Amino acid sequence: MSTDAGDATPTGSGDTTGHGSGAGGLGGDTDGALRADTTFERATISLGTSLLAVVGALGLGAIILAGSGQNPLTAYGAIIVGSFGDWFAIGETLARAAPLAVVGIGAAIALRAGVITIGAQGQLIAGSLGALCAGFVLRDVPSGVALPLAAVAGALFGMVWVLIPALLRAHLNVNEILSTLLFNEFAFLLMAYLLNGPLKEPKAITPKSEPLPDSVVLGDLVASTRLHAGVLAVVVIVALFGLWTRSTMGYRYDLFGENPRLAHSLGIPGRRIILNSLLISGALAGLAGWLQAAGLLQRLFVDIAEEIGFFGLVVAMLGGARPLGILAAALLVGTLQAGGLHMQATEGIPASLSDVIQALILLGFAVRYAPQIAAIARRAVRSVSETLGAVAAWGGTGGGRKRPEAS
Amino acid sequence: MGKLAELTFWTATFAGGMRLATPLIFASLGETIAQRAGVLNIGLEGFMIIGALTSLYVTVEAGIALGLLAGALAGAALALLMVLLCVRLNANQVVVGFGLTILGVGLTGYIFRLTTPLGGERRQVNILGEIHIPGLSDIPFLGDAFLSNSWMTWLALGLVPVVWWLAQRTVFGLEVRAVGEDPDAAFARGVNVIRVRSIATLLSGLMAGLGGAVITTGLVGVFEPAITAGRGFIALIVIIMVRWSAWGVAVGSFAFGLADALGTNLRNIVSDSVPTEALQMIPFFVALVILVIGARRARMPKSLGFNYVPDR
Amino acid sequence: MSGSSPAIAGEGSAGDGATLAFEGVGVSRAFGATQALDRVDFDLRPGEIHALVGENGAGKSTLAKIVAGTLRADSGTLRLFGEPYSPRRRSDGSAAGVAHVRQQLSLVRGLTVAQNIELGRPRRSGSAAWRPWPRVFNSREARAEVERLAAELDLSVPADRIVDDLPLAVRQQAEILISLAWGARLLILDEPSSALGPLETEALISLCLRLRDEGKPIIYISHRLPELAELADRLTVLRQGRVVTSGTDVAAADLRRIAELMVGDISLLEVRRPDLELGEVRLEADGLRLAAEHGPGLRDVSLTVRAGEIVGVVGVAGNGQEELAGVLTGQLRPDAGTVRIDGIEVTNSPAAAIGAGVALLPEDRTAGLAAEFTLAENLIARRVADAPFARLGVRLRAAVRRHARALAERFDVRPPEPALRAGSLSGGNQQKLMAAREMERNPAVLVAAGPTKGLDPHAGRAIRDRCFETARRGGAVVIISADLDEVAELAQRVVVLSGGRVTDRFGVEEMTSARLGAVMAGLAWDPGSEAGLSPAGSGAPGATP
Repeated sequence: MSTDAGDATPTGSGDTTGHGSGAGGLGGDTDGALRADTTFERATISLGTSLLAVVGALGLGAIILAGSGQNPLTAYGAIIVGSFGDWFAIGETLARAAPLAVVGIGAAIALRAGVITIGAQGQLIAGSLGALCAGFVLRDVPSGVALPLAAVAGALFGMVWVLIPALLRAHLNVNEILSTLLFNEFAFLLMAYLLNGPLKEPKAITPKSEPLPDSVVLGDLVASTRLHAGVLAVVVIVALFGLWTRSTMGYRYDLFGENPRLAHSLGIPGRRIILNSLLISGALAGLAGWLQAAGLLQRLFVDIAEEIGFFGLVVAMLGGARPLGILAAALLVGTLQAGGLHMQATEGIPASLSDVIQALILLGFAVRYAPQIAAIARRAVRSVSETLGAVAAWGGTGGGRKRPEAS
Repeated sequence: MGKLAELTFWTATFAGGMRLATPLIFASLGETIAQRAGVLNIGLEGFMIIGALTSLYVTVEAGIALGLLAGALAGAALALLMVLLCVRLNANQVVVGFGLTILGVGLTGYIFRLTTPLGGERRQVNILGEIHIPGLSDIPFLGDAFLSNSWMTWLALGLVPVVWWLAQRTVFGLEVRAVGEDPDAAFARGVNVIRVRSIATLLSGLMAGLGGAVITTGLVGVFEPAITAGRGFIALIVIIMVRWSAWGVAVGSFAFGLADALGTNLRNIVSDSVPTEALQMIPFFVALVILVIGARRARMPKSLGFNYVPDR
Repeated sequence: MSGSSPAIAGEGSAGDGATLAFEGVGVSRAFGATQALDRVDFDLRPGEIHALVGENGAGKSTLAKIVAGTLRADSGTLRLFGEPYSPRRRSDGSAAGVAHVRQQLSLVRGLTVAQNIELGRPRRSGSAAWRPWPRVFNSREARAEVERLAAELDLSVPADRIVDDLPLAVRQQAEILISLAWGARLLILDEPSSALGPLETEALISLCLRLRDEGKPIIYISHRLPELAELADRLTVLRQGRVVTSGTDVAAADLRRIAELMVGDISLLEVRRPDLELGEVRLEADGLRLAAEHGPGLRDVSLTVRAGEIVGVVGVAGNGQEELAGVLTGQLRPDAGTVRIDGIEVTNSPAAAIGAGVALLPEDRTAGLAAEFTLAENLIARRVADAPFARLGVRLRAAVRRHARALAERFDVRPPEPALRAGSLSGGNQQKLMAAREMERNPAVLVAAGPTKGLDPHAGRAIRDRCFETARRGGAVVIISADLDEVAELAQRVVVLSGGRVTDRFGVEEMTSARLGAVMAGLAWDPGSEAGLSPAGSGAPGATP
C-alpha cells in the first residue's frame, strides 16, 4: 500500500460545507461530533464596521447602566481612568491584554483550521503549573537559562492538557468544544486540590502556592506597574502568527478549515491538522499560564486563569483570527477588564458590566459576519466616509485586506 | 466506608439524582427541539443562569408560580436575541451562542452584585418540597428513591412524552426535522423555515430558562454567580449521548444527575481518604465517558449549526 | 386527484373560447443589474404540454419560480385559470394548485414519502379560522393516500421508505404524486430528465402524457430537443430573458432551427473532436471493490485507460459513479483492488495520486473549491509550496497573484481578478477555475464527473475543449456522467456502470439509446430482440391507464 495511508482517511467531521448531503464517504456523512460553520474567520474586516459594533455595545451598556440606576458617564469615566489614567493603569491594561492575545492566537490557528476549542482555561492552568514546576527544578539555575525553560515547560504542560481531547477529536470524532470544557473542570479541580494540599504555602490562610523562585520570575518592565517583561514575548508571538498566516503550512491549515473535502483531495492530512492545531492552541494557552504565573502574579492561585481562556477565544473571534485584529481586540478587552475592576473599586459598579459589554461587542461582530448586515454596514460606512472625504481612505480600507466581490 | 452498603445512602443518592436531573431535563429537552431544527445553541449556560436569577428574584416578590414563569420568559428573551441574530440575520451560531453565554453570566453577575451589597443579605426562597403520593411514595426503596419528587421534577418528567409526541406525531415535529435535515428542500415544499426555526429556538430558550429557574427556586433557594456550574454544557453532552431523543434525554439527564449526587454524597463519608476535588470530578468524568461513547456513530441533523440562507 | 378535472381544450386552437390555464403578460424580473426576464409573455392552455427551452441563464427557471410563487415578478400580470393570480410566496402557489418539480427535488431526504406529503401541504382556504396547533400527523392516513395515488397513477412509489434510499427516478415520481395529492391543477417540471437514463426518461414521458390526457397542463422545461418532440404540444424559446419564439407548434417545428434560436450561435453546439492518438496505458484500475452506505458501491470494477484516450463511464446516478471517482483519485480506500498510474500504485493516497499527475473535477462543485478563498489562493492549491510561489515555507504573494492572473486568463475565467472571492463567481466560471487549477500542467489522468453539467454552452464548450486538450497531450481521461449527450460528444469508448458493476463496454459509435437503456437498467443487451427494452421493475409505465 501507499506511503501516506495513515493520513489519507478523511475525518469528515470538519466538513464546513454543510449543505449538499452525503458525499458518499468523501465528506461528513459519518460525523460524530457537533460541527459548526467556521467560515466567519475569513470575513472581510473593516475598521468602520468594527467601530460600529463597539460603539453600539457601549451604547447598550449605557442603557443597562442607566436602567439600573447608575450614571453611565461616571462608569465609563472610571473605566477610562482605570485603563489609561496613569502608567499603572496602562500597565494593568497591557498586562491583561498580553495573555489574552496569546490565547487568542492559539484559538485563531485552530479556528482557521475549522476547530473550535474552549479549553484554553484548563490549558492555562496546566501551563502555570508547568512554570511552577520548572521554577522548583531550576531554582538555582541562572535565570538566563531558567526563564526560557520555564516558558517551554508552560507550553508543554498546556499541550499535554489538550492532548487527550485532541486525540479524541482527531480519531474518534469527539466534539472538541465539549471535551475541552470538561478538561477545564478537571484542571480547575486539580489546581484546587494541589493548592489546598501538596503545593499550599504552609502558613497561608487562602489556598495559594509559595512564590515562584526568582530565577524564573519575569522582571518588571516599567517601575511601579505590574507590566512585566513577558509582554515582549507577546510581540514575538504575534509576529510569528503573522508569518504563519503567510506560510505554506498555514495555508494548508486554512484550506482544511475552509473546505475539508478539497483539502483531502489535495492530499492534505486532515487528522494531523486537527491534532496539531489543537496542540498549538494548547501550547499557546500554556504560555499564557506561564505569563500569569511567572509574570503577573508570581505564584499560583486557584483562579489564576480568571476567565482568560474564554476571553481569549472572544479575542480571536473579534480579531477575525488575524494577527493585527487579535492584537487590537486583546487591547480592547484588556482595557475593559482593567477599567472594569477600577470602576468596581472606585464607583461600586460591578465589574461584570465589562463582560456584558464584551458580550455585546461579540454579538455585534457576529452579526457583522452576516452577509446582508455586512453589506448594509459597508454601504453606511462608505456613505459616511464619502461625506467626510478625508476619512474615506482610512475608514473604508483599514484593518484588513480588501476582497471585492464580483457583481 | 461501611455506609456504602447501607440502603439509605443509595436511597438518598438516587433521590438526589432525580433532583439534580430536573434542570438538565428541561434544558436538554428544549435544546433537542432546537437542534433538530438545525439551530445549535451552545449558549444554554447563559440561558439557564439568566432564568435562575430572574426566577429567584421574582419568586421573592410574587411567589413561585410567577417566578418560574419569569425564569422561562427570561430564557425566551435571550432566545429571541438568538433568533434575531442567527435565524434572521444569519450570524454564526457558535459565535452567538458563546456571546450569549458571556452575556448571561455577565448580566446576572452585574445584577446580583448590584442588588447584594458586600456582607448583605442574599435573597432567599424556600426550596420546593417533595410531594407525597399515597401508595407510590410508600413503596420500599423505590418510593423514596424515585417516586418522592417535587412537583417540578414531575413536571419535567411529564414534559418528556409531550416533547416526544410533538417531535414524532405532529406536523410541527415533521417540519422541525425537515428544516434541520434539509432546509432548502423544506423551503421548496412550502415550509416556512425561518418560522419553524424561530419557534424551535424560542422553545429551547423557554425550557432552558425554566431549567435555570429550577436550580435556584427548586434546588438551592439562593442565587450566586456561576450557580449553573456548567449544566448548560452538560445538557449539550446529554443530547449527543441520547442522539436527539426525548426519552433518551430523561435517561441521560438522570445518569448525570446520579453521578453528581454520588459525588456529593460520597464526600460526606470518604472525605478523609479521598480528596474532595476527586469526588467533584466524578460527574465530569462520567460526562467525558458519555461524550466519547455518544460521539461514535451519532447521526445528527444534517444542517445543525448552519443557518438557512434562501437562494435569491 | 379529483374527478373534476377541467375540460380538455380543443385541439391546438387559439384558445379564444377556453380559459387559459396560465397566462403571464409582460413579466419582468431583475437580479441586481441582471435582467433575468424582460417583458415575457407566456401562456399555457388546458390539457397541453408547453415546453420552455433555452440555454442556462435564459430565464427558464426564473419564470418557473414566478409561476410557482417562489419568486415575485417585478412587473407584469399573471392569471391562473382565468383568475388574477399574484402569489406572494411558494405556499400561495401550491394553494392555488401550481406544482413545481425542481431539478434539485424538494423532498426532504431524511423523511419518508408519506411524511413528505404532509410537509408544507397547503391548507384548504375557507376552513375554520381557528386551527389547532400543533396539528397531529396521521401517518396511517398519509400512507394510505400515497398508496392510493400510486395505484391510480400506476407508479411504484413506496410510502414508508426514507427518500434518501430511493432512486432519483422514484423520488421524482413521488414528488409528482405528492403535488397531485395537494390538488395540483398545473405542473411545472424543471429539467426533469437531466439525470435520468433512457428507460426512466421513457417512463417519465409516458407519465407526463397521461397526466396531460387527464387534464393536467404541464410546463416542461428542458434543453433536450428530441425528448420534446415526443412530448410537447407547443414550445417557447427564451434567450437572455426574452422570448425568441412563442408557442410554436412542435409538430411543425424544425428542431435544428429551434436549437439555433436557443443558442444564437450554432457552432457552439458542434463538437470538433480532435484526432487523438492512443499511447501507453496510463490508468489501470483492477478489481475495485467498495461497500457503500447508500447504493451498491463498487463490485469488482476494472478499467484501463491509455494515453490520449477518453473513456465515458455512464450509468444512472447512484450506481457507483461517485465511489469510482473517489477510488480512482486515491481519495477513497477500496475494500479490494488497486489503482496504478503509469505503473505507480496510488490506491488510497490522494497525495500519491496528485504526485502521479491525477486531476479531478468533482461532480459536487462545492467539494472542489474553497469558496471563501480568493481566485489566487484557489489556483495555487496544488502547488503552494513550489518555487517560485514560496520560499523557505513562506508564500510569495506577488508571484502567486501574477500566476493566477495569467492562468485565469488562459482558462477564460471571468473576471480573471486574482483578489476576487471564488464563491462570488458564476457556476460556469467556478468550473473553469477548478479546471484551471487541475489541468494547468497536463495531467496524466483526468477524472471528470459531469464536467459540463449545468454549464451554459460557452462554458461547456470551454470545458469540453480542455478535456480534448488533455487527451491530445497524452493524458488519460475518464468522463463519469449520467448525461449521454456529454459522453457521446467526448468519449471514444463507453463503459456502462450498473449496480456497481461494469455491465457493458463498447466504442462510442455503437452507442444507441436502446442498447444503453437496457444495460443501464441492468439488463443484458441482446441486439436480436427488442425484449431488452421491456420494463424491468424500475417504475416503467404499463400500456394503458
